[in-house]
Amino acid sequence: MQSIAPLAADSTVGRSEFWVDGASTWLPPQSSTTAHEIDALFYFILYSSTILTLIVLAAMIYFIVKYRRKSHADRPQEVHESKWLEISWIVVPTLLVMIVFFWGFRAYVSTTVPPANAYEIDVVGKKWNWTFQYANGVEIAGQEGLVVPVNTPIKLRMTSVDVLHSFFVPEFRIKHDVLPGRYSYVWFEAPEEGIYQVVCTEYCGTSHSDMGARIRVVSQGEFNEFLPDGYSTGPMMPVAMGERMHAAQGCNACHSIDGSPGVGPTWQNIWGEPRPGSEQGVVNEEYVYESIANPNVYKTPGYESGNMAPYELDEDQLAGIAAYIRQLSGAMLPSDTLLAVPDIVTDTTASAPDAAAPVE
Amino acid sequence: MATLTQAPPPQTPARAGARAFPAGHEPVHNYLREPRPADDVRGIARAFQWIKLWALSVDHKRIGIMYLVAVSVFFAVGGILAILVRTELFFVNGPDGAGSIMDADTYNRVFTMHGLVMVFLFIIPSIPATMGNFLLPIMVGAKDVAFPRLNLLSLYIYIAGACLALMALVLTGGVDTGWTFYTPYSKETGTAVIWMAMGAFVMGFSSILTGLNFIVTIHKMRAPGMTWNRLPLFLWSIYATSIVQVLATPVIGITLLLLVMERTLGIGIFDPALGGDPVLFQHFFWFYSHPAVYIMILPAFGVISELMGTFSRQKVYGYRAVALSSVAIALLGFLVWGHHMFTSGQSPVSSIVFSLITFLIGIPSGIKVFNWVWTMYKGSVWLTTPMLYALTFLFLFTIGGVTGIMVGALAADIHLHDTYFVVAHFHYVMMGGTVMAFLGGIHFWWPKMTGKLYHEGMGKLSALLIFVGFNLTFFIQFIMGSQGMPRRYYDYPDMEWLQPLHQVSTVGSYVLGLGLLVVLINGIWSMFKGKPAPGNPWGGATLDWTHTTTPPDHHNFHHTPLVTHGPYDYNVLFSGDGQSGDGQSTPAPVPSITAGGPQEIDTK
Amino acid sequence: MATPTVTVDDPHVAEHGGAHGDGHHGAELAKGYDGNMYPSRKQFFFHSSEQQFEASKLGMWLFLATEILLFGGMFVAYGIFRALYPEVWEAASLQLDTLLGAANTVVLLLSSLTMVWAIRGIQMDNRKVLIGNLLATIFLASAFLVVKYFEYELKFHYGIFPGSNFELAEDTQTVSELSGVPALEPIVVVEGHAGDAGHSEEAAAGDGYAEAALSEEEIAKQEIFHERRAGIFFAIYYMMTGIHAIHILIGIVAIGILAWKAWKGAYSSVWYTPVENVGLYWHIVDIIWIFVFPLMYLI
Repeated sequence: MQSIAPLAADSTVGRSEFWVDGASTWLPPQSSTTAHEIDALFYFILYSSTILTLIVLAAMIYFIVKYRRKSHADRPQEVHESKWLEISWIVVPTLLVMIVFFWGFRAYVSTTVPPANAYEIDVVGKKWNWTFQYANGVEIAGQEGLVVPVNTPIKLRMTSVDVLHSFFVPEFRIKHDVLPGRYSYVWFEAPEEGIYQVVCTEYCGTSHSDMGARIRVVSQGEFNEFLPDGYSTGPMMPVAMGERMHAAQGCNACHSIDGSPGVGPTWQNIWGEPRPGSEQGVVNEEYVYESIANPNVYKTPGYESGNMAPYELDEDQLAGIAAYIRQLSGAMLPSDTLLAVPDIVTDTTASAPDAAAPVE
Repeated sequence: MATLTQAPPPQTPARAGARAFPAGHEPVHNYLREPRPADDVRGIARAFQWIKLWALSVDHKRIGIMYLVAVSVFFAVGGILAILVRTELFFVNGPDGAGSIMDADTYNRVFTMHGLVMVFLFIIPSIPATMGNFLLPIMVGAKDVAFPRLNLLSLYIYIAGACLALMALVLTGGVDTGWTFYTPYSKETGTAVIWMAMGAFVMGFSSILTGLNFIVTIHKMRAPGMTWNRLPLFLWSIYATSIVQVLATPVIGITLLLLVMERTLGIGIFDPALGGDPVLFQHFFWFYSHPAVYIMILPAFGVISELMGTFSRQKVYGYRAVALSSVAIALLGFLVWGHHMFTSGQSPVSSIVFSLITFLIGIPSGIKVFNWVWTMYKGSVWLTTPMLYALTFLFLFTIGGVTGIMVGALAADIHLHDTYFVVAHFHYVMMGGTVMAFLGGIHFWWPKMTGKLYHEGMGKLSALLIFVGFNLTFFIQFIMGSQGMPRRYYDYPDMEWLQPLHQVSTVGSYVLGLGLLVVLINGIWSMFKGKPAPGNPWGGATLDWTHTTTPPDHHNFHHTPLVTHGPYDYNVLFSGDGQSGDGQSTPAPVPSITAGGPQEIDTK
Repeated sequence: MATPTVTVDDPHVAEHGGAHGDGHHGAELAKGYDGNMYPSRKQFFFHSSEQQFEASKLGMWLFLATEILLFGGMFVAYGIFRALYPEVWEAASLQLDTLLGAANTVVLLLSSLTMVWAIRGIQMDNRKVLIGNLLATIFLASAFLVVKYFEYELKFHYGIFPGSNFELAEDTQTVSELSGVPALEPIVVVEGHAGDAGHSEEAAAGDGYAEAALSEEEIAKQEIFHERRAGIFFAIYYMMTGIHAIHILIGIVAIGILAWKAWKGAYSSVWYTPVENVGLYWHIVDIIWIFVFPLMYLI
């Protein structure tokens, strides 16, 4: 069985054009077992309200044409209010909306209550990336793709470490806000293998629109093989590791690699640059490590207003990022030793809330 | 081209082409010119005097006009911001900012300021503070509102609030929280949230004072014979609006104050890190802001009632149902705020209850639409510019309403919440509803306010451009939203396949902007080149048309009017001398009635 | 509602100066309680003095409704957090001085009495009673603020600040103990999960409160006063009493202006609308305190 490689940050997943298999004019393909319930309700309201709107429009046009004023001498005819007419247009819409209410209510209950046997995965939202964590501690960056087995109910236990986010998968028809200091839940069961886009729908700041993640639905066998180690891809060169971290940890949301300014400083051509006022005074390994662990102790001039959340990375990951920055600045590496444990599996067994605890 | 036709009855003494005012009732005290500086004041001093006489006037009509100028300016500002937002979304951004006109932070400020300016500075005061101020005392038959000085104060409080909001613009280029100020983001962001929140807080007082003034005026200052059943539907809706303004606005006041305290003192009520609750902020915010939606739409209902009645020359069908449904909407409007939070972490039980009440509130709105459409039945439908806007309203508001049913249905909202579908829905209601009614009302009362006629051809062109542009811009957003496009997105690299739809929407917004520009040009044209308006150009039967001159006099009425007919009894306009028959009342100095009917303009 | 009975005004009387601005109010005289003639101060756009008085009063009542809703928001916040963290609330409220609070309640109730007395005075055209009682009201209101100042002062001394600045040490005595008065309730030391009440309910509803900020062990270790949550109680306390104090200040200024104008002879039994309205305002400020006191200090 082939092993699964992490998705590249800039790869396009899922849909590439408007008209794809299973998509209609109005809704994306149904890729979860509950999607059809929401879609049925959507189409019922869509068609009944289209009919209603057309009736109103037809009546308007008919009256305009029929009773158009031909001259200023035109006088209207006497109209007596009809009780039956008024009662009918009170009762009919009331019945309609009651149908919609009960339908909406029942579909809500049946689509939002997760099955008892659902497989639980923790989700942490952070400006501006998602992190997934399996019960065994394996952590996955949102951009690389959460791997879940096909035909299995998955329950996501979500929390945020900073501001409000919202976890939305259009093709699964699931959405819930992700709040700091609380858990919220969504669940889904995907009947087909594939890659699906996750978006954040609660405004969360500068890179709100880049806060995406992917969900990869794979066969049970692939999942079983994947689960123990996550995206373990064997030994890696430090620069490759750094490049991977840049995308996987969401560094790319704020730090560009092409010199263009973002929320934070670019990583290009900064190696060895003086940073007066910082502990090191210059961009070197220690400076990079310090900036990742305690980003707000020293701020690069010009970026004082930004706040970066601290990241806890292991030694190899830090070394990889430093090497990557060094390479982006055109400097040579000190050595090209392979890093031994080159994935983002952390051995922490702590539960998500601790990892997610806001620093007081 | 608009030309005047003199109503033909033989007993009319006036000369053809002249306005037919009974002797002694020429509009010599026209509020636009009276009070005026003394005749011997000249030059700069005279200009200064004029400004003073307007800026410090407690006349409700001058205050209404000043509001009209202010909200129009802010409408233009908000509109330009909207065009910027749409332009940014025309392309998916390439590397090095290709296809982009601003960076993400600027974009976030721009859409936030668009929302804040449009909501707090434009839509909330739009109809009540302009047409409400101008017409409410006249329609009830009073010489002014109950508290004229308070009225002027509310104008200046509004301007003070706008200045505070402007400070946010000056200090940090606006705020970037979204108009909803959701915590904890609004606590963290580096932008001038405090100034903006204080601005909205201060403007709240303006809204409260206006509402309070209107309620008291309607309750206590109706002319003899102006019973509740004869109250024009515009006033019923303003009354309902005012109740909401008075009861809901203090809650946003305290909420914004708590937000400011959160930022300055860290009081922790909304901060999860201190044990507070960000969802509580959303409850507080929507407890005001959902009723505020009705502050925005209810006055529009009133304007549409007037337009449908007058231009169909037919009693508004189901007067009582339309009047009471406004009040029902105002009261039920306090109980539905939770439908903004179906996915935000309130308990499912409350979501279900809020969803149910949301559907209940849809019913009175539906009743209104059916009644308006049926008003044209057996009427005499006159397709002038205001009527075109009213018909546009009916169509767009119906779409806005039925899509409201869509997002009010719990399960469907899970998918649609915070996507472009919601954006399109509330633009159909707010812009397709309130703004269409605002434009229709402005055209309708333009002759009354300025004494000049606007250009009918330009008016119709603007209505057409706005209709086409609006639907191009927003209908396609329904599709984008249900396909999954989240709102408040600077860019959509993961959804590149939506680019053609975004482009249609952007082009539509340009057409829409062009249409609004035509409205502005028409207004300016009318000031300089417009023909003088006859007393009752549309044949209206409310007191503003039958009992005041055009433009109204400084004190509205020479005599307190005695109201003997309902607001939509158009037959009194054709009953010869306009006497109601009881003989003992003072005959109202009604130019139009004594002239034997409305002096309708010929728009051909 | 019936329209007030009014007469259609005679154009020759009411409109004599109508053509030239607003220069015609207050010219009419009416007979007062004591038989003298006083200006009615009817403005031109009202039909009658009764209509004007009723309009002003309705306006004032509506304004008071907004005041109640303003404080209502804070009462709701109080209720919600009390339900979430009941033991924090009970313990924190012991730091409030019930004696001073009760004294202030009495002071405010007395000031309402003097306010009513003042209105009664002007209704009977007795300006001495009016001014005397207005000054008494100002005195009582100032006394309230002085007491409030000492209360705040003591709290700041112990580090009781709102929200994140809260830093009272856990073994600090309660205010009652400091002043030698037995506390109304024993200090509750929390050992469990502070959010339990809310937790089970919310979890049952499928959407749990999680203490992501604090783990279970941390909570167990912490006493109430180390928790920032007590800061929320005092945040609400300071917001409520602070905004209330601002209302008292505004009241003092308004009553001061009334007294000054009354001294100048502006009011009579024919026209005393401002006195009536400020009186209404003062009562609402009083009533709000009647709710704040038991909620904050007693329970």
